[in-house]
Amino acid sequence: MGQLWRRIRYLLARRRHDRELAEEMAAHREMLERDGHARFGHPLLLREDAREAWGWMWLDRLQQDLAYGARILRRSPGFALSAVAILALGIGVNLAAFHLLNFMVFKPLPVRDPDSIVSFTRASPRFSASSVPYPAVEFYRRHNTPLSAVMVTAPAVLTLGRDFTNPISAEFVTANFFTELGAIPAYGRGLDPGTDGQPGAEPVAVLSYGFWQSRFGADPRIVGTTIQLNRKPVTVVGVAPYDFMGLNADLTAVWLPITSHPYLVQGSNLLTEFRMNSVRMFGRLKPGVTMPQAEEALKPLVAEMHRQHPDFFQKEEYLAVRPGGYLADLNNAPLPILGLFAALVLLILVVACANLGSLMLARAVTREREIAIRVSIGAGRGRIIRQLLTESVLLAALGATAGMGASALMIQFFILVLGLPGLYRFAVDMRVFLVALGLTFLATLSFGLAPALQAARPGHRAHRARRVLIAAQVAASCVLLIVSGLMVRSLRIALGTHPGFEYERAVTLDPVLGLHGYKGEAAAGYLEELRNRILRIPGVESAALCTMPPFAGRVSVTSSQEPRPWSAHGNDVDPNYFRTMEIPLLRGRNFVPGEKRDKAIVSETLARNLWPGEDPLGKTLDDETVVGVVGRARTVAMAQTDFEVYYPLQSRDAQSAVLLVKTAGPPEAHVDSLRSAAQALDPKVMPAVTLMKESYRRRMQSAGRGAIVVSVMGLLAALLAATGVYGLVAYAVSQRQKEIGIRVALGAPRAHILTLVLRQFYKPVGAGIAIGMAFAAGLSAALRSLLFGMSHLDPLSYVLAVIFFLMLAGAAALVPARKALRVDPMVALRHE
Amino acid sequence: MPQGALGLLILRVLQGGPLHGYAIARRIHALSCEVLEVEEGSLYPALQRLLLKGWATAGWGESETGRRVRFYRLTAAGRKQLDAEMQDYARVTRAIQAVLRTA
Repeated sequence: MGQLWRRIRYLLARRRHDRELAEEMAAHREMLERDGHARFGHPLLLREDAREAWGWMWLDRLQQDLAYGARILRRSPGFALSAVAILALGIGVNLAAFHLLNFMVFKPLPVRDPDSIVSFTRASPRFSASSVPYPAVEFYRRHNTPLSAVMVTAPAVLTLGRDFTNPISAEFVTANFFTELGAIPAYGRGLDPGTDGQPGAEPVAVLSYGFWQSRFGADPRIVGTTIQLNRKPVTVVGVAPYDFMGLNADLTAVWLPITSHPYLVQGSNLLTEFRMNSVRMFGRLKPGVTMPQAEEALKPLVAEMHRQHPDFFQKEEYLAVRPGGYLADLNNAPLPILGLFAALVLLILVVACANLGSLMLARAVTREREIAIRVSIGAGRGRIIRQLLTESVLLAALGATAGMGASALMIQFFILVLGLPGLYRFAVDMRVFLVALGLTFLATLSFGLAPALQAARPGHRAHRARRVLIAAQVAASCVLLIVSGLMVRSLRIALGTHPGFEYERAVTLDPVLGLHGYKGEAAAGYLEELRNRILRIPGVESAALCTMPPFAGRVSVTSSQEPRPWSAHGNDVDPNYFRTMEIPLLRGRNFVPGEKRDKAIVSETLARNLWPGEDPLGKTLDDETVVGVVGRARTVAMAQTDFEVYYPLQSRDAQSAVLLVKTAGPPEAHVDSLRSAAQALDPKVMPAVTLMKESYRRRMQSAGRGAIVVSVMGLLAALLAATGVYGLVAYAVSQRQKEIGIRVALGAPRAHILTLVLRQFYKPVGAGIAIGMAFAAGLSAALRSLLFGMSHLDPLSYVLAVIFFLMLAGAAALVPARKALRVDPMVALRHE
Repeated sequence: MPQGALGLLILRVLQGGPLHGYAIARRIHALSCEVLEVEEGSLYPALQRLLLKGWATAGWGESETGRRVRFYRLTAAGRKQLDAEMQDYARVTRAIQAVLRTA
């Protein structure tokens, strides 16, 4: 212990100790000379030997290596800059991707003790629902044992003031929401579980920080004033903290106590209705309680709900418990697609490292002279390798630092292109830092080690290593290009394909009747009357009812029916639906008014899949008889299947129905008249009116964004690989200048010279392309569900990607190769 | 001269009182009847090792000729180490001599 302490004290005062040693030895030398001896060795070397006893020499050597490396890099700024840029790109892309993953999966939401927060979904062997009826939550809250708190959230769209065209997104929450999540308001107070949750309490609201900034100019005096929400006065009591996003990470503008739902949403029966899955349920586990324990402990309560309301709760139903304190649940994420994207970004790093590796290799060869000199004056092989590796580490550290900056820029780009909330902004936390460190280490090893080993064995040419590196670059960039080719082509096909129904002139009008207390027959009556009124509006061609308007989401119907289990998108529609959406009836008949729920109409694709070569009419689906077959219609998303099954809409389900209106001319002109028609019939209804082509465009946009991101990555990788090819060809030309000169002097034709220079690349590039195609075929299997109208092995995408790469690489190779043609034999032979 | 032996000799000559590096070398030279010559290249590493182990401390002072020099002084730990090493040395020497005499 004492020894270690003395060692450290020595290190801290190293300069003084060295000075003292020097003086002491000088005195020794003087006295030696005075006594007539003169046998003192080289003072520097002697001092070094003496210092060795303290065991800090490695530090000195590292310092020397670093200083030397820095000097070398400063002397060739072009090389240093391009190496740092290449690394910054490779590391930056990976850091950016990891940052997003970190944000979504690993980093808890900014709330108090996020690990004990859980979310609940209704589950049974036959169905699952992400929301729970509010009165059931109340029941669970009162009687549960595993939870110390229960919270709910219910999204809503409200009008602010007199602005009826830009509704704001609100979230109704339990009054314990802010205290339980540990959110300290920026101004005013959060919701107060003591007073705000009570029936008859004064209606209050808490604004989100972002909304307060954008809508109220960040004026703290807003606290205590009254605003109009859905034309009702509400008092603003506070502004949420800057980074508070609640538990759903939506861009919520305002939080309100759930008890004020009936006050703000007229006719709401959310607080009492067991039939409606109205709220998302969250809870905080008591200390020591695990998620499986909580799930088990809640089962009797759900069973009791089933006993009291057998119509609304299923026999084997339970509440599935999941972590609630994170943005995304990794168990729920589409793992193959995440894996694919992780692989793609790592491939960029591979290209960058291989590129840099061949750059280093070329440099190592030109530095052979320097290294040979150092070996001949006594540097050991280990020391040379260490020196070269130190240079690589230096480069990698610079590259990683630049990579952090690059990833911050890339995140900003993602935020803009993907429309993510600003909270995703790049920030270095421990995990990001460790990943950066790991990436740097990985990069250093992969681009620095081979050249260092190679260089320490002077005279040995690095042909093999160089070929492997070029093949790796080609393979990795081919994978990226092929995947982006697949995505772009699929998008083009999707854009060029008509979804199979009339969406350009259609408007969706959703009166959200269930929220306003309408049920069954009453809702059916309202909708029928509304439909009649709307049909009288000039320019309206037809109107229909359905429960799932196109592009609004999906309801999956799955059946384990023998012999062929199937799964399709389900929709409850009225007899006007097919005519309004212009989906052709191919066989059988349409629904008739008052049709019972035991009939169904299927899309021709589903019919062909279920009963190939047979007549689908009269066949049975679970409990329904098929009465008709209609044309295919992709109502969910272009990449999804077009298996559709339609059921006759029953009036007892009318409160969840939506009105589809088709206009004769452009639909934009009718938005206002449709809204006022709905309100004229019942002023408390606040309908959501959407142009269907808008929803369609939004769907396409998200597919387009994915394609853009992957294409940019592919292009970057290809450009990197092309610069790699350029560098290698240029190097080959300069190395063989003499030989080329002789050949030219002897009259070799130009084509011959070109082949001579380029021939050595044929094999590694060919191998790289083959490997890349094989990898792409394997990786893109994960994309299958996202690709529309084509296989992930679509040959055209592969061929186009390879041709594109070859053209790019060929152009990059020809520039320096042409220099070989211009070699002047006289100059070349005089060279050296 | 083996490395360990040099350390032992230095400790021994320091037992008489603080000395500077050159004086240590001279003293060993003289006491060994001018047989042992302590090279500077081994003296100073050995001295640094003594400092590291905590067997000696160093401090600046003035030599007999008025030159500023560094004096090495034995510590308590150094004395203990010297005792232990001398005993060890005596035992090993006796053993070696026994072998040499009887073999």
